[in-house]
Amino acid sequence: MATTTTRLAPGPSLRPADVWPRLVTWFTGGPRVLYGASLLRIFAGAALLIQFVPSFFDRHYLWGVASTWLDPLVNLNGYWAIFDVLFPKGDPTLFDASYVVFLLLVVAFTLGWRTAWVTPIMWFFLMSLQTNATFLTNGGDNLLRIVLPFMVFMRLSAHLSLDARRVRRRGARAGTRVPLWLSSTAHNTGAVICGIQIIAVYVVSGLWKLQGDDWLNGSALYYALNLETYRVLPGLSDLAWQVTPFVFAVTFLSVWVQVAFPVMLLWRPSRVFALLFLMGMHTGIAILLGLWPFSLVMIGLDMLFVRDTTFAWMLRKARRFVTRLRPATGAPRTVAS
Amino acid sequence: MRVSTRADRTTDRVARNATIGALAIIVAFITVTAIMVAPSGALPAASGMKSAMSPYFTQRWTLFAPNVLKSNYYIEVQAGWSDADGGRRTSDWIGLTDLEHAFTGAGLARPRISMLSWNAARTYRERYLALDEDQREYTRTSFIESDGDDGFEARDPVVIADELSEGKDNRSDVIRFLRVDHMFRTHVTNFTTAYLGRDVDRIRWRVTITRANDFAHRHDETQQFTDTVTTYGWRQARRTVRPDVEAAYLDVIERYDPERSLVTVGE
Repeated sequence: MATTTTRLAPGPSLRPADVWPRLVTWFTGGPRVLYGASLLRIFAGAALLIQFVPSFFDRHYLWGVASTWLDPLVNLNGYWAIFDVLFPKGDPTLFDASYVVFLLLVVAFTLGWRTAWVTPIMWFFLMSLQTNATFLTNGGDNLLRIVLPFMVFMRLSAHLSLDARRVRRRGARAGTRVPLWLSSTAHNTGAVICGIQIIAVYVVSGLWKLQGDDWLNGSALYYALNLETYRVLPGLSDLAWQVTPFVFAVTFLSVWVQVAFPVMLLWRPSRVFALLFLMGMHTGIAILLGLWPFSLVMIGLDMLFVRDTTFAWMLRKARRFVTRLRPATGAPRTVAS
Repeated sequence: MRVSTRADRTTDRVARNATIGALAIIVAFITVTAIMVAPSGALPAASGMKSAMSPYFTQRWTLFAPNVLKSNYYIEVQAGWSDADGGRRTSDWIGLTDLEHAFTGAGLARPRISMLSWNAARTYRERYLALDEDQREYTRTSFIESDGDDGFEARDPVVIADELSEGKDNRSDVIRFLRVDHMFRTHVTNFTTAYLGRDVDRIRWRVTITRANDFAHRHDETQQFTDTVTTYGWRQARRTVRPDVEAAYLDVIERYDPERSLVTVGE
């Protein structure tokens, strides 16, 4: 009887001699995850707008002249004095001007206008404002504060941006003069660091949760939905916690997917599941707990684990879908006889 | 076969060095991250580095861990003043946290103001609980004394710190508590002056903690836990409130509680 042997296609060699050239090519051969980086820019910008636009009228109370009572704690943090320049508590005119400029910078950043210049300046404004107060930041602010200096070196506006439109219109003249190997290495290093940071957040947070009873007995979501300060839609929160299987499933999955996140990234199906679950979880956190800035930053960083080819495939599918929906123009009319 | 040129070799060297540099930066980032996320005391040798990096690189991802926060924190404040005829008057309790939560636009992100006194109350409470029972009782007494002339004045904070620490080995906890107590004194003076529209000479506050039923009793109609209310002693109000500071407080009060409806409980 004839037997057939199915040979598995050989995977990439893991011999150091083979890995090293691939690594060099990966870092220096061109920027990776450009769609993910562009979406990270948009999500981070949206997170800042959602945070600072609604607080516009409270700005003097939160960060300005009325926040001097916080100074004994703020001064203990030991931030560099240069961050005191833009938002002085004793000069409301300069404070207001800086606040408006900051909002304009965030809009420019979100739209991807002159991103390479806007990003570091916006980071400086953000730091200057946030270091004026305490009690006002959450995990999303902290995360953004850590990754923004690295995002400065990334190409955040290759897609879905005014910069990209300008490059398309003007061609190579609007492009960068930095050598490809340098811009690629800078971008890819920044992307890897952002990826490591989000992995650290998930793993550390997951490991801490494993030490708490609420996460192991499946009740944590119930308590989170009953904190008054996070109940932006009380009816929906009450509806969610009354479905006990939902509470158990989300509580367990959120811990274990976070802890296993780095391992799940290694295999495509588990990676897709982990990313879809975590993005869904953060969407839920945004809607139910009102933590939009935090959730948007987390989802934006998750996007870095989606390859450009996947985004390109999704875009093709979306375009085809839109084309099908659009009524055909110029097609001969069929007249019923 | 293509012969490797000098230009190719230069490009290869540049690419190799760039990759080495990138990997070095990534390894450094991982090292710093590992140090910052390590539990306090786990890496004593790196404590100096942790301290230096902390304002910019804090990595505390424990808002809902190890257990979810279960309590809600509210600050209510009260102020006293003297009338023209010398009579002493006291305001009702005013819900400072309730005012900061009285925003419109349900379903969207909460404005940042909703975090301020809620987090401040949590911090105050944590520092209060770090003291022992005798010290806690002391903080619930008045920090005001007679000035010997029919008036009152603030007690010397150094004397308060000494009395609180006497015979105890937690002076740092005492200082940490008194620092936030001092901050509250400023904040509550500013707030009550603007809210009541008059100068005040003494103030106090209470922290109310509520919590939902435990998961096992989630469908019970009756409240499982009674609210915890801790009232702290009277403090001397700050002497003056700057007009621009008062205006900033007043602006918030006018927008969130124009009817002054958060005066909750009579004294």
